[in-house]
Amino acid sequence: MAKDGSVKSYILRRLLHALPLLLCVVVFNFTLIHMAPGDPIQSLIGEFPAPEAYVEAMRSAFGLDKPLYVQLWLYITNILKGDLGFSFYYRQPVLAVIVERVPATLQLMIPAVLFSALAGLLLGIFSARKPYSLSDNAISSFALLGYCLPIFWLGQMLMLIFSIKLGWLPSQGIKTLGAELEGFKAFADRLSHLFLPALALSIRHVAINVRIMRSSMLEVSYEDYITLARSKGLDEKTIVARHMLPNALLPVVTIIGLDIGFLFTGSVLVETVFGWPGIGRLMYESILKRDYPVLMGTFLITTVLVVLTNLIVDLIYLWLDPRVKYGRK
Amino acid sequence: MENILLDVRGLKTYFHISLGVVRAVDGVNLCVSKGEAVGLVGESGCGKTMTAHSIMKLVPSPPGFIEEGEIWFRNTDLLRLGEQEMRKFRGREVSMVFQDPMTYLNPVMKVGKQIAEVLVSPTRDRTVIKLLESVGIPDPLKVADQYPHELSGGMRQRVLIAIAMANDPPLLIADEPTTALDVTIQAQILDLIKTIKTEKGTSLLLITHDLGIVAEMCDRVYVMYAGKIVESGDVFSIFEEPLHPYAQGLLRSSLSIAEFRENLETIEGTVPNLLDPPSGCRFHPRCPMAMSVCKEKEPSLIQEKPGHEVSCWLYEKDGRDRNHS
Amino acid sequence: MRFYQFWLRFRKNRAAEISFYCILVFVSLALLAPWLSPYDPFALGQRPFLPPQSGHLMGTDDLGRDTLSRVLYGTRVSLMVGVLAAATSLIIGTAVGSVSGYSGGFVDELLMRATEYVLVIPRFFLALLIVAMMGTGITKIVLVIGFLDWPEIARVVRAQFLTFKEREFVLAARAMGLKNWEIIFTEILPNAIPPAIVVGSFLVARAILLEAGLSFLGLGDPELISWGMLLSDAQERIWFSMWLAIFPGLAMSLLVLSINLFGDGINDVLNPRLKEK
Repeated sequence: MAKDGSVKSYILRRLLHALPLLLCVVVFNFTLIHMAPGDPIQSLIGEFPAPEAYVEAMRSAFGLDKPLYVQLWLYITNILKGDLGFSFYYRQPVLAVIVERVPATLQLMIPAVLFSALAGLLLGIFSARKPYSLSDNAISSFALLGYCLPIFWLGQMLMLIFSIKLGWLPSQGIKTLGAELEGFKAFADRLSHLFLPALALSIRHVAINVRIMRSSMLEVSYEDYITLARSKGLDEKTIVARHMLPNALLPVVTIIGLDIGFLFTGSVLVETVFGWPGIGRLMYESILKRDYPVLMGTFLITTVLVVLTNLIVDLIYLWLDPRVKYGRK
Repeated sequence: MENILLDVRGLKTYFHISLGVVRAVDGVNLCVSKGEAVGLVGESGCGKTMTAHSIMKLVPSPPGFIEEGEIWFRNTDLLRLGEQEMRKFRGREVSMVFQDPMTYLNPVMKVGKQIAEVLVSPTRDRTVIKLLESVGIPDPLKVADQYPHELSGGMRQRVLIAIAMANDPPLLIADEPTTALDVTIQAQILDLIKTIKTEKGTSLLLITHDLGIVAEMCDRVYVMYAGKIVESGDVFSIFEEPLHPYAQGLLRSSLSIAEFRENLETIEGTVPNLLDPPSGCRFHPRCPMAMSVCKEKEPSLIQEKPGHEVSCWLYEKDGRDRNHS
Repeated sequence: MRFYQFWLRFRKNRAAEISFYCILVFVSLALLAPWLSPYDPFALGQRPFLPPQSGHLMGTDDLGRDTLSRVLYGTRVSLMVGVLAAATSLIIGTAVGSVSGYSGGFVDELLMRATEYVLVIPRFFLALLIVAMMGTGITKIVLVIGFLDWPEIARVVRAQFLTFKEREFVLAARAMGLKNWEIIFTEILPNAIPPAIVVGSFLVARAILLEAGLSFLGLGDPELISWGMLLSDAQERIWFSMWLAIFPGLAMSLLVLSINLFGDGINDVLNPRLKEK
């Protein structure tokens, strides 16, 4: 593999590549503040009865009486300082409000990503081994269905079946409120709360991954190096695991990476259905409360998170495919 | 008979696609003796590669199926073996060198590992290095640790040969081993195969469209056209006196290339569509000497001279009679 | 005549054919909603929370409104947003892809960078943000979705331009002195449109899901009834009146499924190679 130095410079280059994107997001937020109907100050502090002194302080902090480019400059420098504004509803700085919610969202998303990747890959491999067989058709139909169901409706239906009708699993929240649980019991309690939302969030992505993995495996199975592997007298399992899988994974990794952005989308809806106290739920509440600084901040922070996950995925790709030169775009 | 290593009898490999049945290999007989080098020549699309793949039982299925025939390797009919038993033959008893070294190596696996996984011997690492050395790769330690894309075409073909020869198989099938390479490298690779053959006594089935290579490498030749063997014999008699009009045409065109003649001689017409092959002798639409019988009946393979067989109405008794009448 | 051949080949895919009829049914339901609805979807009824029964086949909601009528009216919003938003994306994507693929060089680099950015950002969040701050309204929702979901189209169209740009007939056209825009519109674009339409048909399904997501979070057009809004209303009442959640979701799933199968069918006809394998 490559030397450390070139990996470091690769990461640096990727980050530089993403920088204009983050700048675009900031400028976009700024534009939105000024485009929105009403006084920009409303967008900056949200629609709350704020004290007059605070409103005036904000006006001068953002230079609202100055020309636009000065305002933009002030806005950008404020954000660079880590100041995403102040949420009147939560009575906390926006950054703190969001950061507080990040762990819950990660707690939901990481299992969902892992599950959808694992289940998607396994089902895809299994499906591709005997194309157009009964099992393949069954899996493909499931994948199509999973791709089409609206994620929040799926959540509602899971809740209806497993919480309301069967009573097996809790329907709301991240843990049982007020219960003083310890050790394994606390873990089991969290797990039982996690199960339905994580499932609802994963299904669509399991479906996407199955479809991609299946077609990628099929494509690879026609490659010449698979014929060579057969001519070596290797058994089918070795051929699949050692020769087909590593090659078939390459396009899938890229797609999974792009998919993580869409997983955030799903998390807003799923968190709303299941009352999960993460970023998504925060967005929903901020919409209801017209807490614009929080909305804009969340958008910026999630973009940063997506850029970072894409970077990680790029590095995984780099590690999987020796052909990629670091100089590549 | 003791001497015969591979004996293919009446092999038929068909592809069933939505448009119909492609008779890629249609009743091929051929044999290879111990230590012998046999050429299988013909234009691309004539079924020679599929013959080789059938011997290894590597025909992609579906859509391809070996419909009929026997493939005797020593005392075993390979077509009767299950997939698991067949695996023991591949790479150990019969190996194959493929056409395009660019696409036949796994792009994400180190070269050394790709060689090591064929080996049955326990001292893998050392054997890998020795093998790379034996196929003339300088700095084998470094190459073993590289990925295919870091090697040149010639190097990759050497690696493919190393993989094929890893377990010293008695039979090596080489499918157009030099077609994808530069002319200078071609000669090196052919030399390498020759050396291996003489040193280890390996039998060789060489598949090519290039008669020059056959003349240089082989003892005997089979000429294949549209899924069938049309002529066979030892290299000298076929080059000296080709019997089948197709073989004559092939020889003329390869000579005209070799001698840089002004008028490049080629066989007119194109390879027939194997979905719907011509009636009678499959070569008759392109044959300069076609007779009426050629369109109607298929000629059988007859021995014209000792060890020299041909399938053409020109040499069949009643065929000649009709011609004269 | 060409259309008839297309239809014959399309019909070979049974699932696609059935889904096409399904879509026709949904379209007719949407068009005829005012005449088909048994009740005024906005009219408050006397009997709230009725389970499905004759007279109210899908039950009633907390204000006694007939769910069937509301689902029928929801079809209109979903179809309208889906088709119009996808059309918007199609136009933007085709424009970006054409310019990018035809001009190449710096312009191409710039546009492709922009496309990549739009592909990477959490688009749904952006849509939420815009609609929340700019105000809800069906036109705004259509435009926002349309302006966010064009990157795939742009990439497909650009790829087509890259292949066709160097073909003989385009080179010939250039040699004959045709202007750039003439070459783009008469020679290349007709070849780039079919694959873009395939992608576009999938975008209709995605736009429907996106709109439903927005209205589920309370950002739908308050003047109109949409399936997402019905599901949002059902969310708090799911414990005792589950029919409120079941029927709108079923309708939406069926429509989205049909559109995706329909897109697959078109794709099969236009790219038959993929199926031969």
